Amino acid sequence: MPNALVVFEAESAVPNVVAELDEVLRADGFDVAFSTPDDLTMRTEASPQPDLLMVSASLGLQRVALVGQHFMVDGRVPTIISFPEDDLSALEECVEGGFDYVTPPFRRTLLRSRMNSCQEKSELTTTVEEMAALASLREYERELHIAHEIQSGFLPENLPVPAGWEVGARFRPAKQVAGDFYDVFTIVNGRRLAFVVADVCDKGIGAALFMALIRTLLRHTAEHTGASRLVEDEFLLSVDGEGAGGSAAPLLSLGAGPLVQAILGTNRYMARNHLKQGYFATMFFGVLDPVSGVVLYINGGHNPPVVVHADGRRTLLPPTGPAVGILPDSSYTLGYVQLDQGDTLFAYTDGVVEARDIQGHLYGMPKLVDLLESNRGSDAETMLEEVDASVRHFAGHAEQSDDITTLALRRTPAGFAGP
Amino acid sequence: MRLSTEVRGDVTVIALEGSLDSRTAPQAQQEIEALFPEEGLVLLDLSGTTYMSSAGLRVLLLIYRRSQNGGARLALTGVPEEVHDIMAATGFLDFFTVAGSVEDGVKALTV
Repeated sequence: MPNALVVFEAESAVPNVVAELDEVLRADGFDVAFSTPDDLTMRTEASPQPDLLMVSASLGLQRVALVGQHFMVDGRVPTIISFPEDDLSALEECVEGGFDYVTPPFRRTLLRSRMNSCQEKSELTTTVEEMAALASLREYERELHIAHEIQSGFLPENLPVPAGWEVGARFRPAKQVAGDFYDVFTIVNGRRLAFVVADVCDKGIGAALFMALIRTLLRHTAEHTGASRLVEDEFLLSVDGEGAGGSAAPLLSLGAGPLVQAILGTNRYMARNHLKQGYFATMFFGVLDPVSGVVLYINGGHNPPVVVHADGRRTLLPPTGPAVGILPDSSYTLGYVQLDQGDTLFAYTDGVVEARDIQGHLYGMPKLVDLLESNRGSDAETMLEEVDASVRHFAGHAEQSDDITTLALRRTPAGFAGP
Repeated sequence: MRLSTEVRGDVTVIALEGSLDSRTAPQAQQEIEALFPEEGLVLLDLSGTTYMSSAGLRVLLLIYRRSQNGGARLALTGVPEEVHDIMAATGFLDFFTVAGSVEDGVKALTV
C-alpha cells in the first residue's frame, strides 16, 4: 500500500482541513501518517521517502523546503504537494517557490489527477537526468576512444627488420588505454636496431600519459645520441653478461652510447620533473648489432626476457638496474648477450606471467619458459602466436586485468629464406 | 584494503590488509597520507597484504618521497615473499629499510 505523510504545525492546524485530507487519502488507498516539522527535524537520520509528501503551506516557503531536504536521497528530494489551511497567501508563496499544490475541498479525483501529473513531472525529470548522464558517459567514451587512437600512434606502425633477422611484437591492452608499450627503431645510421618492451606502473589514463612521455624520451634520446658519445656517466656503468670476463668490447660498441643515454636521461628527466606523480616504468631496452648478433641491453627492473638458443641452452636476462623514474641517481649495468643463428630473444610484460585463469591461478614463469623451449625451432611470428594462444587459452573467460605485450627477435638460421 | 594504525613508543605502525592494486591504490594512498605523521618514525606493516600490483608499488614510492620531503623516517616490515621479489627486481629495496618483524622495525627506527 502506498504511504502518504502529511506535515503540518499541530498547534495552529485547522482541524477539518487535515481530517478531510486524511479521509480522502485513505479512500484512495493510502496509509496516512502525520508529523510536525519539528518532529522531523529532531530526527538525526534521514527518514525513508514517503510515496506522497503533503506539507501545509502555513509553514512558510522556507520550512516547506526544509521538510523536503529532510527526505533527500542521492541529492533528490521527493515531490511535495502543498496545501493551504486558512492562509491562501502562504500557499501563493509556496506555488511561486515551485511547489505543487491542492486546495480544499479535497476531492479524490482532483487529488489523484494532481498526484499523477506530479508523478509524470518527476519521471520526466528523472528521464532527462538519465539522458544527461548517458550523454556524458558517451562523451567520456568518445574521449577515451580518441585517447586510444592517439596512443596507438605512439606504437611503431612498421617494425624495421634487418636482413637475416625476424622481429615481431604483440600488444593486447586490458582497457582502451594502456601503460605497456613496445618500440623498435634503428639508430646510428641504421647500423643498430633498438628495441624496447616497457610497463608503466598502474593503469588507465595516468599510465597512458606517462607511456607517451617515456616512449618519446627513450626514442628521441636514443636517436639523437651520436655513436661516439660515450657518457660522462661512465662511472654509473659496469658490464655484465655472457662474456663479461673483463672484456670491455661492448662498451666501445656503437650502440652503447645511445642506449645508456636513453635510460639515464629518461630516468633523470622523470625523477627531476615528475617526482610528485610517482610514476615509474620497468623496461627492457636492447640494442642489436645485426652483423655480429651481439645484443647490448639494460633491464630496468623488468621481467627477465628469455633467450632460447638453437644449441639447447636457455638464458634469462634479469634486471641490471632499478625501474626507470624512481631515483634520480640510479645506476645501471650494461648487459650483453650473443644471438647466433636460430636463437630467439623473447621479451614480455608481466601481463603474460601474471595472467590469471577463472580460479585466480597465475600463468607463471615456468609455463612460459616451457612453451618457449618447446618452440625452439619456430620463427618469431609463430612463437608470438603460440604464447598469445597459450595465455588466452589459460585465461579462458577470466577478465584480462593487465596489458599484455610480447616481442620476439630471432636470428634466422642459415638455409632459411628471410621473411 | 583496510588500514589500521597503532603507536608503539615513538613509532607509528600502519598496517595494510588486503589487496593493494590499481582499484584500491588511490584510497589507500589517501588514507596512509592522512595517518602519516608530519615527522617522526613510521613503520609500514605489509604482513596482511595479499597482493601488490605496480599501482601498489607506486603508493609505496609516493609515501617514501613524502617521508623524504618531510621529517619522517620510514621502514617496512612483514613484506610477503612475492612482494619482496618484485621490490628487489624493481630496485625498491635499494631505498627501503625492511625489517623482519614489527619489533625489529620499531628497534631499527628508534636506534
